[in-house]
Amino acid sequence: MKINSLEKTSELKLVSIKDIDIKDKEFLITFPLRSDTLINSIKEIGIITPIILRDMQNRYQIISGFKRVFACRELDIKSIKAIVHSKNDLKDKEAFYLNFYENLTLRSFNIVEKAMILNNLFERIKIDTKEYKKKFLPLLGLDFNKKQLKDFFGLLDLDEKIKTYIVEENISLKNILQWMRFTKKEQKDIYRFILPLRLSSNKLREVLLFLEEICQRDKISVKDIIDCIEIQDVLNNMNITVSQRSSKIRDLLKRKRFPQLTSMEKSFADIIKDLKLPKGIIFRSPEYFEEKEFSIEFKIKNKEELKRVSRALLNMSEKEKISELFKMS
Amino acid sequence: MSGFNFQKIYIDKKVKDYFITKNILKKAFYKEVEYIDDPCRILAQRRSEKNNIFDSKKTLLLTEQRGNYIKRCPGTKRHLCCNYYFLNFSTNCPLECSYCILQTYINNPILTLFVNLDKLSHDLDNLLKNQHHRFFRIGTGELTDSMALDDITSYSKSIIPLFEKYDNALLELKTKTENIDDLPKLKHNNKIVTSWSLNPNKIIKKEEMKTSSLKERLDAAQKCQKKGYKIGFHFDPIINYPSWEEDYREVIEKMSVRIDPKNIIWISLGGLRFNPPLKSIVKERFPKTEIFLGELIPCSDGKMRYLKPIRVEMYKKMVKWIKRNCPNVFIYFCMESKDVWAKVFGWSPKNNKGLENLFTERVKTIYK
Repeated sequence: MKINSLEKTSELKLVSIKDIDIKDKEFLITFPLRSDTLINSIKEIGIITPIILRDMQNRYQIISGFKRVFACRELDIKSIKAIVHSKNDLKDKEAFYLNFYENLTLRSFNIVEKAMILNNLFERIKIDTKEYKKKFLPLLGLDFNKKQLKDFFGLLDLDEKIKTYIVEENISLKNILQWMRFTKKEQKDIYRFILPLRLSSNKLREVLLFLEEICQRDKISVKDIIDCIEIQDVLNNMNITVSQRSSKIRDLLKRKRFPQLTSMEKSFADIIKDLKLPKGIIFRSPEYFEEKEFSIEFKIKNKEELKRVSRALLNMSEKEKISELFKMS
Repeated sequence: MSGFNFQKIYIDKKVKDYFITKNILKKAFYKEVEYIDDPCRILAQRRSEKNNIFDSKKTLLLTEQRGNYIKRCPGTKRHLCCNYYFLNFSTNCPLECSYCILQTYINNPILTLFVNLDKLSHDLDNLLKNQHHRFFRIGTGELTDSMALDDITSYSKSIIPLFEKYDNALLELKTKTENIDDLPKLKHNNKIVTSWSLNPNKIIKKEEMKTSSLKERLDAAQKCQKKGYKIGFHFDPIINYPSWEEDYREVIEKMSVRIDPKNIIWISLGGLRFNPPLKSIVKERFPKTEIFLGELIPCSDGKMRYLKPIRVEMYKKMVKWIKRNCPNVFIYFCMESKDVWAKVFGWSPKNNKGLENLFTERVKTIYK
């Protein structure tokens, strides 16, 4: 679609902010709408690029420039420079493309914006599947089948706070889709739960998975898990750092999800503690206690140290506790 | 009748005159047939279209097996394998088991049936004719269910007679269906074992879609028993969930009531195991599945299994219930470590060959 000819039918003019219909979000592909950077920039040097509007006779519809209009309102700026197209000269599809390509050249889209764009193309512009798959998915760096696409649109129904969190924390698509597997209420409970934990992508994935699987297995809600005393104690403990809190929470969830494994790990750690191994000797269990072989690691610099380690190992082999350890695998 | 409906059947022109092709065209429900020159082109096209797994089960491709029909089970690292052989007359399966490993085989975009059974006869000769010192157990259930489409393909009618001439082989037809109408009419000469995978109805309903119920499977087994077939049962995968003990014990009791333990040639036990990529595929296809809720951990062969003490406890209980109901039956594990064998039975085969020998003995004893 070529839209060069539109230059002839549009005009650049100063438009009063109050004449712009801010409720009409048909062409909105920007999230979130408020940007401190933009507000500060406008305060400093004003608006550099004109916005694009469509003249709907009794009002102006925003095609591109939502953030700028909202910033102007906040800064009490009364008018804004705009390229105005007439309703007849700029059809919906052209208007959408104009907005999309203008944004595409200037910035990258976040995940919520990508969902807004695809949803617009699919539901409103009714673009044909081939163009959609071959052109727009690659332009947005996405690769979906039909079912995944439907799930992806669910992102638009997320609570505003969650969407903002997703964008600000750059949450991965995999984690978002995992989050969306919960009910609306649970999504909000999870948001409140993870907000103070500041989890990395992998850790967030682990937490979401643990929550989902514990809920499904024990037929309980996310709130039931979060409200349990042990979790609340950690969340309310102000004497630990954020990273300590997140680590303790993950451990608690792991214990709930894998009770037998974590109990074996604890027994192993307790026995090792009882054995009082000298510094520098590390006794390792087989991974997940699946294989038979345990391993011992130590570092030595000379003959004396070798003798010291040998004596310690011999001493350890004579303790009763050591047999309990080997029974574990 | 299996009652599967196919959107399309592709027929490789080279196989249009085969008995099975004609049978399928006569008996299957389908919307469209296309005769093709190059099945590879169709497969490549389907792969590029990224058709979903559901679609792949709705399309049939009838073609020729160019490789060997028979392959040895690859086993798995650090676990005992019984040296079983697979006879692959089909790839992909019309059934919908949530835990099915075939879902991770992306190279499998169509339900493919190999119909040039003259080549199978040749491949069987190559394997069996010059190895009289060995006994071979061969099964058709690696990449498909042995019987799911038998009413439209009549594979059993074509394959069973091929085994008549060999004294050193036994064919196992393993299924989750009751689609065995041809079997009672066929002469099996003690060369054929019919087997059923068993699970509690709760699991069948939730995780084994399009398969027959437990009762239907046992009814079918009983029909085969009446005609002198020896019967195998496979509790594989065993799923660990809150009421598993009660449910599996009940299945074992029902099995032993319906089938005379003297006619059970073997029972295998295998806990749920899968390659990690399967989980996300299954969760997308079957969001309500509960098979991943146990304590599953990665093992040395890369597959996920229940934590060892959980597996051992499950196996010990299963063995106890089976022995109580079928005292002398031969029980084995599929893809388990020697250590697990030893923990459950108090002994373990030395190696794969040792396990294979146990089977050979079992076959000799039961057909004595």
